[in-house]
This record gives sequence, C-alpha cells and structure tokens, in this order.
Amino acid sequence: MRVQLGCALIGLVLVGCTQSPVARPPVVDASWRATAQDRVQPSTPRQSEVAPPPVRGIDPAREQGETNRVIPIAPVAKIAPIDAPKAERTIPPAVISLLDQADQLRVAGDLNAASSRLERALRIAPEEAEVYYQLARIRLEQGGVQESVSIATQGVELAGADNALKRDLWTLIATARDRLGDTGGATQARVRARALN
Amino acid sequence: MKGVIQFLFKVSLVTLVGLGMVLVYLNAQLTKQFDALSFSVGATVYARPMELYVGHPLTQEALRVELAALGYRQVSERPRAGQYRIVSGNRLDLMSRGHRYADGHEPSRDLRIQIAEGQITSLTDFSGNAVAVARLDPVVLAQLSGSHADRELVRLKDVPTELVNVLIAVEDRQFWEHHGISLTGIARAAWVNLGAGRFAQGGSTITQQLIKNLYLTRDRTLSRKLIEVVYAVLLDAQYDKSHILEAYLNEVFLGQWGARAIHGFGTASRFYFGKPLGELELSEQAMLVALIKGPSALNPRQFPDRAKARRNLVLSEAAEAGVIPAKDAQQAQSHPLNVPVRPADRVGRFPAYVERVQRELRDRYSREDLISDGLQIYTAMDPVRHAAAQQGLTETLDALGQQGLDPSREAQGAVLLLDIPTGEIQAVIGGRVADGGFNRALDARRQIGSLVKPFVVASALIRQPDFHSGTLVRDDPITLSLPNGDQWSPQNYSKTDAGVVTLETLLATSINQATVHLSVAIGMDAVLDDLVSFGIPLAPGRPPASVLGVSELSPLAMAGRYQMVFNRGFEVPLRAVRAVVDPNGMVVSPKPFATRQRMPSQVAYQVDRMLIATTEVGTAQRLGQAFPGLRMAAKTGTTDDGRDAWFVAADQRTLGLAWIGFDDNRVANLSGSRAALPVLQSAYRAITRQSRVIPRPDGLRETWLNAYGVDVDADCPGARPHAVPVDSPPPISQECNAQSGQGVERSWWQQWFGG
Repeated sequence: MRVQLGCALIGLVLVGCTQSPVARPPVVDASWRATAQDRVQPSTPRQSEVAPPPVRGIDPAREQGETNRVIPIAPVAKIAPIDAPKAERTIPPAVISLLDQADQLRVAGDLNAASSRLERALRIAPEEAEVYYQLARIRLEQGGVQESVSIATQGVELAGADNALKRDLWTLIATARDRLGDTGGATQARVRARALN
Repeated sequence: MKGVIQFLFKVSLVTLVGLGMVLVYLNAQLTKQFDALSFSVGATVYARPMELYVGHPLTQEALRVELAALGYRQVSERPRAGQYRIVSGNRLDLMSRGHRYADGHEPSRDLRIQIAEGQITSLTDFSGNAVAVARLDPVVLAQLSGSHADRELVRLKDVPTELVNVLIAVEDRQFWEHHGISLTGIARAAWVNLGAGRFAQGGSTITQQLIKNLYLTRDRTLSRKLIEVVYAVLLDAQYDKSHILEAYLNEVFLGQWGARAIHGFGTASRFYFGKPLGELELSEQAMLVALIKGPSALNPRQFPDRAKARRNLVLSEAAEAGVIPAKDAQQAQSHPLNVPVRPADRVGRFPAYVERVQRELRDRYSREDLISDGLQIYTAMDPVRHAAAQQGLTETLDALGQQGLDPSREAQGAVLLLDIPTGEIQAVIGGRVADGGFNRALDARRQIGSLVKPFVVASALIRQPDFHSGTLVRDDPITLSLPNGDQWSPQNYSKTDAGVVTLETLLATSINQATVHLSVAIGMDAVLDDLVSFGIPLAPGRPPASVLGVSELSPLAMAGRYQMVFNRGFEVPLRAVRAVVDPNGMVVSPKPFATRQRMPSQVAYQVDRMLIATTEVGTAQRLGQAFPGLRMAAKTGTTDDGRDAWFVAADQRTLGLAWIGFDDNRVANLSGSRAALPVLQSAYRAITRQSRVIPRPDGLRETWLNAYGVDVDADCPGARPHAVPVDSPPPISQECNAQSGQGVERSWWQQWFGG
C-alpha cells in the first residue's frame, strides 16, 4: 500500500520532469560537468541501446521478487533519531580502574604496559574520548608523534560536548604538531583549544 | 711371543679406536637430535582472554562455553583455581587461574559473577567486595612447532613437584644419582627375565625410556638394548638431569586416540582430564604415572578396573618410597578415576586465523624463530565468534547445495568478523573446510561489485558539501564513450528506470544507472581518485566501471574499507596479534593500536545511515527482519552472472563480511542477499549484538525529507529521517508532496543551470 504510494510519487516526479515545470527539484544529472574523457551521450531509448560491453561487477540489487520495485522510498516507523543525545556521560568503573593502572605504569616508566592497559580500556569503552586522550599522550611519550596526532583527532571527534577534554586534546595535538615542525598546524590547534576556554 | 703380544696390542688399539669412532658418531647423532628436539616448546598462540566487568555483554551460556574450553570444572563446594560453581540461575562463582600476560601478571582470584539480560550485572569476590575488572586465562589456539603441533608442552618448573616425585619413585628411584643406567635395575630385570624365560622387563631408567621413545623402534632385542644403554650413558654425561627429565615429561607415550598419539604429561592431562597439568589432584597425577606401564592395556576409558588397580599400586609404591604421606595415598586411592568418557576437544585448530597471525609476525620473526623460540602470542581471536562464523558458512553452503544452486558442492566461501573500533580480527574462515588450504579470506582476489557504491556516494558527499542522503540523482539510461572508442551503457538489474532517486535509495537498493549518473556529475576522474584514496585500487586503465565495482580485492581488504566507514571515517589497521612475549619476558606489539582519518566524519556518518536504511528498506531487509528492534547497517554485493556474492554487515561493535563464490570464477547465479547474507545472519544470531548508535557529528542536523529531498513535516507519508548539512539546508515546504521549497530563491540547481 505504501509502496504503491511511493511509486505514485515517482510517477509524479517523472511527469514533472518531462513537462519541465518552473521549479524543478535538484536532481544530480550526469549531463552537467562531463569531462572530455567521459563524455555522455544523450540518453537514448532502451530499444536502441547499444549492447553493454562485457563488464562485470554490476550489482543489480537482485532481490528475488523485488525486481518490479522501482523505488523503495518506504516510510519508516517514527523511531527516535539514531543519535538521541546520551544522558550523563559516565565512565564505567572497569575503564576507570584500567586508566588508573595505566597512569601508574606510565609514571613508573613502563609505557608498553601502560599502552596495553589503555588498549584494554579501549576495547571496553571505544566511545570514551578520555581513553583516546591517554593513548595519544602515551604514543607521544613513546615517540609516535604522527600516531599521537591521529589518535587525539579521533578523540576530539568522540569528545562531544566535553569541552575540557576537547581542550586537552587540542593542546596535545598542538604539542605534537610542534614536534613535527608543523608550526602553522600547532597554532591552529592552540586557537581551537583556547576557543574552548 | 713378543710378536703375538704386539699383534694383540695392535688389534686392541684398532678396536678401541674403532669403538671410539663409533661412540663419537653415535654421540654426534644423539646430541644433534636431542638438541633439535628437546626444548623447543614452540610458540603458543592464545585467543583473546575473556574480560569480566560490570556491563560486559555476556550470557550465562557463553560464559560456560568459555569455561569448558578452558577446562574449568564444575564443583559443588568452594571453587579452587580452575573450578566454578553455579550458585543460582544467574550467579556463578569461580576461581580464575593466574596468567602472566604481556602487560603483567593477572593473579588467580575468586570471582562472583551475576548475569542478567545479556550482560554482567555484578562482579565481586567471594566476600562481596566489588571487582572492577578481571581477566580469565586465555584459551590456547595453537602450538606452532615443527613436529609437535599437537602437544601441550610443559616446562619442568611448571610440573607439580608431587607428580615428579611419584614418577621417580615408581619408574626410576635412583634417577638423581645414576649415570643413565641403573645396574641394580638391570640386575633385577635379568632376574625377572630369567624367571620368565624371555626378555620381558626392561629395567629401564627414565633416561633409557626417553631414548627408547625418541630414537628406537619398539622391538625388544638385545642389540637394541645395548645401543639404548650406550645412548643413555652418553646422554646422562652431557645433559643435566632436569634437562633429561623435562624432555621425558614431554615425550613419554601415554595413549592413543584414533590416529593421534598422546605424548607427554601436558597433552595427556588435557586428553584424560580436560585440564592443565598444574591442576591435577594426586589421584589424577598417579593415574598418568600409572599409564607409562601400558597406555593401551591400562586405558582408563576402556579398562577402568585395570587402570584403577594400577593407579592404586602407584600410590602405594609412592607412599612406601616416602614421597607422599601414607594417608594422602590412601585418600587418593578411594577417589574415582574421574576421566570424562570423551576426551575434551583437542587444542582448537584454526588454520586460517593462525595463518593471519603468522603473516603479521613474518616481518619480525623468521619461521624458525617463530616455532623454536618459546614465544607467547596473544591474539584477538574469539572462539565463540569464530565458531559462529564457521557455522554460518557451513549452514549456508549446505543450503545452497540443497537448493540446487551448487549441485557439485564446490562453492566456497570466506567469513571475517572484526571489532570495528579497534580493528581487531576476531574470526577468519578461509573456506568450506578448515583444512589450512587456500585461505580465501586473505588471498582470494574477487570483483567487489556493489560493495563499492558507498565509496562512490562518499566521494560525492565530499566533493559536494551541499549533498546529503536526500539529494536526488537521475536514474535513466546513460551511455559513456570510453577512451578506446567503446560505448558503455550500464543497466539496472531491474531493467527499469526510477527516473530520479535519492542518494539513500541509490545505496539502499543498489542502483547502477544512478551511480554512474552521480559519478559523471561529480566528475569521473575525481570519483576514481577518491576510490583510490579510500584504499580501493583500480583496474589498469582506470575503467569507469570501477564505480560499479570491477576492482578486485580480498575479503580482508574489503572488510578494512568498511571498518573505516563504520568507525566515523577513521581507519584502524586490522590486526590479529595484540602482543608477543619472548622467553626472556620481552614484550613486543608488532602493530600497536593506531588510527587515521581517511573520510570526514560527516560523510562516514551519512553513508553509515544509508547503510542502516539498507537493512530497513533496501536489499538487506532480510537481515533487518531477522533481528527486529536491532539497528544494523549492511550492504549486498553481486557481480556479473552471480559469480560473487558479498555481504557486509555491522552492529555497534562487530563488522561481519561474507563472500561466496567458486574458485574457478564460474557463472553461479549467486546473489549477495540470497547467498552471502544468510552466513552473517546465522553468525550474528550466535553472538551478542548491540544496536548501532552513532552520535551525529557537528555540521549536520536531523530532519525529515520527502521523496524529492524537500524538508517536510515528519508526519508526511513517505517522509524519512535524514541528516542534512546545517550550512546548506534543503528547501522547506509545508506541502507533503512539494517538489521544491517555498521561499528558496535560487537552488544550487538553478545556480548551475540558470533555471
């Protein structure tokens, strides 16, 4: 029933297109921006279409029994958005315990073991930006400067609204970029850190 | 006379020199073989240890499977190390075994675990004190060693002293004193043999028995006995006793199971009692010592009465020798044999996974070092998930056979399971049979078909910042003139044109013409460049058909591409090995955790959501229907003539990839949704699952769009939720069926075309 509705809608679109209405929907159309290398012929009717060259790798959405289904803009149940904002961010006790252990090991100079504890924490709470911060810090101490920047960058992505943590991450990125000789990048990172104060 | 003496002297001299040369030769042979064999404990490959903490997704059943694989025994009293007790339906007490991990020692500890609704809800010690996090010991996946792949080798220091004492008391009381042979033993044997009228008793020392096991055939002749004596003396002169004893403990023959010979106490302990040697009770230790006498005749599974009689005799002799208290011996004699009817599963055989492990270590260790160094290799392999993946493939291939799609039963497959945020490889299935043959998961190069489409869409979203999942794309015939003069007119499988589709529909229902329209609109060269930057190499000549998946990749490489999409655009190098510990305790992480952003997070997020739509309204609906209420993302892939069927799926943590096809690349009429989807459907059913929840990155906002990409009321029929760019929002309308917005003066369309 709803699928039929969808098809009907498409019918409208097609009609709309052929009758060139005043306000057309924005449609990505291959006839613009064609380069010399991939020139596009005007669309030809199917009957006169040249046989396609033997090209493999074409997936045909080959669903049994679904071949007639032109366009499945199916309605969905009104479910909560995928990313309903998380309530309070709480770090699980297991992760806190591992972060503590890692910190002790780091202070004691056993960076490998500290890193290994942090990887355990990461497996338990891969969304927890604090773990990425700590890992980035260890990598920097271990001399993996570029790796440190990358891990901290992912941390920023995960930190959400935790501005204090984001500031620490950007500061860490600035330090690492300095070490890489990327003065401009370091300055940018510092600006972003300061903006979070 | 003088001449005779001189002659005899010369003869003696020649004989002595000759004998000496023989001895030197024998000795060289002996030491060469002994050194080669002796203490190459090989490398031990471990599965991931099970982590225990509140919130860990775990079922009571999965925990018990793990405990069974580790050989933990269920008891009714307070558990000791390696034992557990079921306290109630959802509570279990266990005493873990300690284990020295790469990052330090995990002590043996008492743990009370409460499980409800698929996760650990409480974790304390037996006194009720909260425990934050604990690890069980890891399951042994494989022993990498040349000739002893099947043995669980032990070091002398890990063998219980009691067991060593009982062994020596029964088999060779003068072991620590004699020089390889025992004259009293030989005399006693001679006396017995005279009485028996044949050569029945060996009177062998432990050293002699070792020689017999190592170098000699089983026939009992006098000459063999002489060589054995010579060897024993030579061995004893050159190696210290503990060295010899350790070799003996790992070499002695203790049973037969079909074609498999049980050598050594470590292996025998698993084989007969399903637990490591260190956990055997006195009565069990005595049973193993008893078996030396005649592993077949005294087999406790076949001849329990004989076995028990011999075991009790061993205990009496040990007590009489004073190495165990008499009352302990008596108590042990009253114990039942305690041998499970069937041997515990032998050390798992996962050749495809182990092959990946070896390749990760290839750069750092030579093959010889790998098998002789006593390395401890810790991996991310998950036995439960591995079994689920193998089961999924087996079931699906069987079904294909029954449906007549694979009458010859030659279809092959590959399955991978990965942890998305860490890139850890949890399962590698390389084919129909886990026989260590062609590893399709790693080595098959196959056309990827529609698995490429999300990357084409990602390219469009990067190049056109105002694009989003509701942007419309033309879907009608298109013909490209290729540089070589050919014409290329890709077709939709349905042979119908939708006219226009949203990007979401393009991906969810995998539409070819629209994909080509989109690529040409963005710029074919730019899209191809982006595919390369995402790690999808192009065929020679950069064919435009690359946007429909003519590139060839291995299943593992393909899984890596999707890991990046499902991880917000951050690619984490895939790895099986977490850490390696060498015999000196040095820890090496060949591939520590790393990450690199290869796709903007906004783009990865939108593609991810379109792949979620694929399980809701697209080609992977069957997966969505199999797990109602669980949000998953997926993509099907099928190549021309159904030669390859692909399926990629993801819940919150686990990325699964399945490929089905034929090694000779024949026309097979397979499809991603029919042939490959069921593999993962079955695998996901057997593992813990979590709905995909992905926070929306900055720069996007949530809204509802109708089929024309117009922002309409959420209640409009056919409206779907989309994330759209904050900076360039789609047109808004009050009309559910609006084809463009009101109040939008010049859309980008009009800007391009001056409409």
